[in-house]
Amino acid sequence: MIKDFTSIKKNISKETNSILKTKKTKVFDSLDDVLKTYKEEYKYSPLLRKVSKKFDILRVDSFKEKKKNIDKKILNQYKNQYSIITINGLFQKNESKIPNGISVNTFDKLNNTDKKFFHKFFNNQDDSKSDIFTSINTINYKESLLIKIDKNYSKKDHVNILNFIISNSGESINHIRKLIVSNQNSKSVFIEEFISLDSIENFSTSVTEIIQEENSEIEYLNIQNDKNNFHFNSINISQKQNSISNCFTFSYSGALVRNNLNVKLKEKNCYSNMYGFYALREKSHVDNHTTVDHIDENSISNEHYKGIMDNNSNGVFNGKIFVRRKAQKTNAFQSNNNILLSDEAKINTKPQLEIWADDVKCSHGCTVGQLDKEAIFYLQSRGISKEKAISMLLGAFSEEIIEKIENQFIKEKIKKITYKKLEYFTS
Amino acid sequence: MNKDEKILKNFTSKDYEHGWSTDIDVDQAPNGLNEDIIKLISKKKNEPNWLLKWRLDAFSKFKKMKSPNWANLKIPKIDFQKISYYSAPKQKSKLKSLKDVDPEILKTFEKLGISLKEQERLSGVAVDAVIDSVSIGTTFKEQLSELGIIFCSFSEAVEEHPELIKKYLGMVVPKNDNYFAALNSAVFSDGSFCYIPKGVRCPMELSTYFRINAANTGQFERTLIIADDNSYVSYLEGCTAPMRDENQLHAAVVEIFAGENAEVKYSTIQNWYPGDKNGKGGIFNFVTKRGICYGDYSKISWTQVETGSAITWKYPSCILKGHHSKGEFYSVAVTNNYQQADTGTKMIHIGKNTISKIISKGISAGFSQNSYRGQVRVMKRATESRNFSQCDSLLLGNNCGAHTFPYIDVENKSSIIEHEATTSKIGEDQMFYCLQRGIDEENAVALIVNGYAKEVFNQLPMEFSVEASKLLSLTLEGSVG
Repeated sequence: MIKDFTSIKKNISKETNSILKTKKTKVFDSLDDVLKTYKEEYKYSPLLRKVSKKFDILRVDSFKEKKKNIDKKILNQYKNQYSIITINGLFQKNESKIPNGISVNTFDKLNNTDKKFFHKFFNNQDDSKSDIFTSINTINYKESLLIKIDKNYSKKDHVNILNFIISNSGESINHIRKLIVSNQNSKSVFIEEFISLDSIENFSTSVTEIIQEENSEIEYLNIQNDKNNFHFNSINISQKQNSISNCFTFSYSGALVRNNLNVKLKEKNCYSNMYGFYALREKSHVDNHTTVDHIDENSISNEHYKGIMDNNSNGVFNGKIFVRRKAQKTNAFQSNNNILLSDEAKINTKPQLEIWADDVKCSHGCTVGQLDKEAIFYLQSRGISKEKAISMLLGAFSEEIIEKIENQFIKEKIKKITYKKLEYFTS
Repeated sequence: MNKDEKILKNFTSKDYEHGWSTDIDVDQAPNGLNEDIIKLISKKKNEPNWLLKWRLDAFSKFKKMKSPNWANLKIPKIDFQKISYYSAPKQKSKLKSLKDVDPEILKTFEKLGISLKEQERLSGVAVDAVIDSVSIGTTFKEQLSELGIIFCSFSEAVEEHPELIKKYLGMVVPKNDNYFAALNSAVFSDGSFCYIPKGVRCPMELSTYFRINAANTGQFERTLIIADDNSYVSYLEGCTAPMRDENQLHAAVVEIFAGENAEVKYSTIQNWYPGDKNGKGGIFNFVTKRGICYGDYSKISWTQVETGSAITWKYPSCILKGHHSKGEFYSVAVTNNYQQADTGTKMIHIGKNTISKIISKGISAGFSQNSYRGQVRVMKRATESRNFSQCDSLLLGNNCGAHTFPYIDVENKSSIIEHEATTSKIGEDQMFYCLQRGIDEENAVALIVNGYAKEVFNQLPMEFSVEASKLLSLTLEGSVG
């Protein structure tokens, strides 16, 4: 495992913007502290050890952009839809189609007011309590994207964020960085996908910061379906008064995938929903770590993660709820249900509550079990084959999460992907 | 200050009841931790050579270890050189019976409500009383030995039953298990030993009462309970200490072995001195308790009521090795003022069809922090295993904290695990219901809190159950959320 990070210091010296440079230096200086939390945070997912064996994760990348092309067939799937496209972490303005009311720009292209705006929100977390991969991402990303949603924006259509990864050009490590600011009273829907265009093993980190101003609402979905992908994904949401966030994470495959979802309910009357569904086969390993931090009064958080593990797959869930002293009248719920289909599959789950306020209602529940034999028998007695019966029941299990998606188009899309995946789950 | 807060304050400001100390002549080892002290302890106890070697080996392992820092506790640095590792009331000669015990000591126990003499005549509880480092006397020894039950102090067992000690010591908690277990293995002074032979159902409750008396000492007792095939025993443990300004260390080890079809019930009422209202003084209670369900169909049940100690670090655990074996953990942990508790359990399912149940109730008041930390681990071989966990927290006042850290690791497809937890305060509707029936606020709180903890109290033997519920009302007198 890597203990010495000095080599990435070179990347900081390449940074031309002085404010970013100081921010990055600060991140670098706290790396040692961050590494101290690694042991417990990555107890079941030795991501750093695994990727540092396979990839030179501290490599200093050249900032030069090579022209890459994506197969038209793939892009045609997203025809007539709004989409923000990146290749290996670099924004492709010409391929993207962005609705009015949302502006997307890389940091370099921002005007001075927007730059100020960017600095105000970019990487505003406590660095020493950060995550090691978030820190590496902050230091090593090539391009950061600012996605700004205007006040009162409320188009029903969703926006795809498509992150293509092309490894055969010799870049198997990619750091994707985004800052999304959702202004007052706006309402938007994003669906993010990570797509490798070749079957070469690759490692990618993606850090997304979402700032929600008053009364804004955002639905953010994440789909992971890459077999050879070592992936670290961190979504950090910070909510102001009366804002609503709905986050979904769907994981179907991945060599080792780690999802961090951190939600800070900074002001009163926030509402946060976090949903996740993971259906894993073969040697997939998916780790979902979520944190909700109730800082002020009267907020509600609701979390539900469900998972199915088959073959040699390994699922990890860790949900943390913090309720600070000031956050009276908080309601926080958390639930995690798992189905194990094979004796080789594993689940490690840790639903965690930390509460300092007394007038709260908090609960968490967690189950590990299997499909009801009687339900399978019932279906079989109606002439349905066992395989079909199992996938029906698993489908019903997934539905509870999928039904929570508000956007009809996306709901249908996810349903299709899920049911197709579940057909293989028959033991 | 509003009315609620006032009642809360009154209720939570009750003083510690057992804070006095006894003036007795003691034989105390000089402060410091080194090989000579270990040799001295071993010599004082007339221990065989192998045990001294065992201690020294543990000590060398201890020196290489670091104090654990993963718990949700703020532990001030402990200077192990400033503690005396051996303290015993001076004895003129070897005691033959309780009549020879120093009357001052007997008075001490009488004051604590444990009259050794009376116990001998009346009730059906056999008591082993431990003061500082040494066992003072054990009651009902003869009656028990007729059934083949061995119940005596640890040092006595070392002398009289070395074969049993040699076989079972360190079997469940190896000497290098953790930092404090290693320390205990090196310097343990006394404790209780209990052996229930095959097929015997122990007719009475066995009980050990621990009392720290001398200042600047640590108490390091070691308890070993062996229940052979088809036997049953219920074991109780109680503890108190005088009020002192400095922190005292208590690092005990309890090992339980259950053979085929055997059942062991272990109940603790822990009431060490918790420190004063400002968090000064108090006992550091760093205890390793573990039982192994070695044989098929065996059962170990832990019940604990934790009200004392400045800091508690304690995880009574069960290793469910035998098929169809059963582990249970019932706990009420109460913290007040500046107390900190990080307590819970580990259930390791190894055998097939093993069952475990965890009921944990945390109550925090004042400025205290109360954490539940538990692990349920189902190994690949442990097919058809079952676990149910419930850990609830009750917050009294808004300066305290309640935390839950459950680890659930499952590695096979036929086991069923359920875990649930809630955190809340006493409901306004519950209070209102009591008030409108003419129960005043203070009693209403006591009633509700007792009801909340009842599931655990029901597991305690009758005498203890009454004491526990009294203790709970005393510790929390006046808490309205």
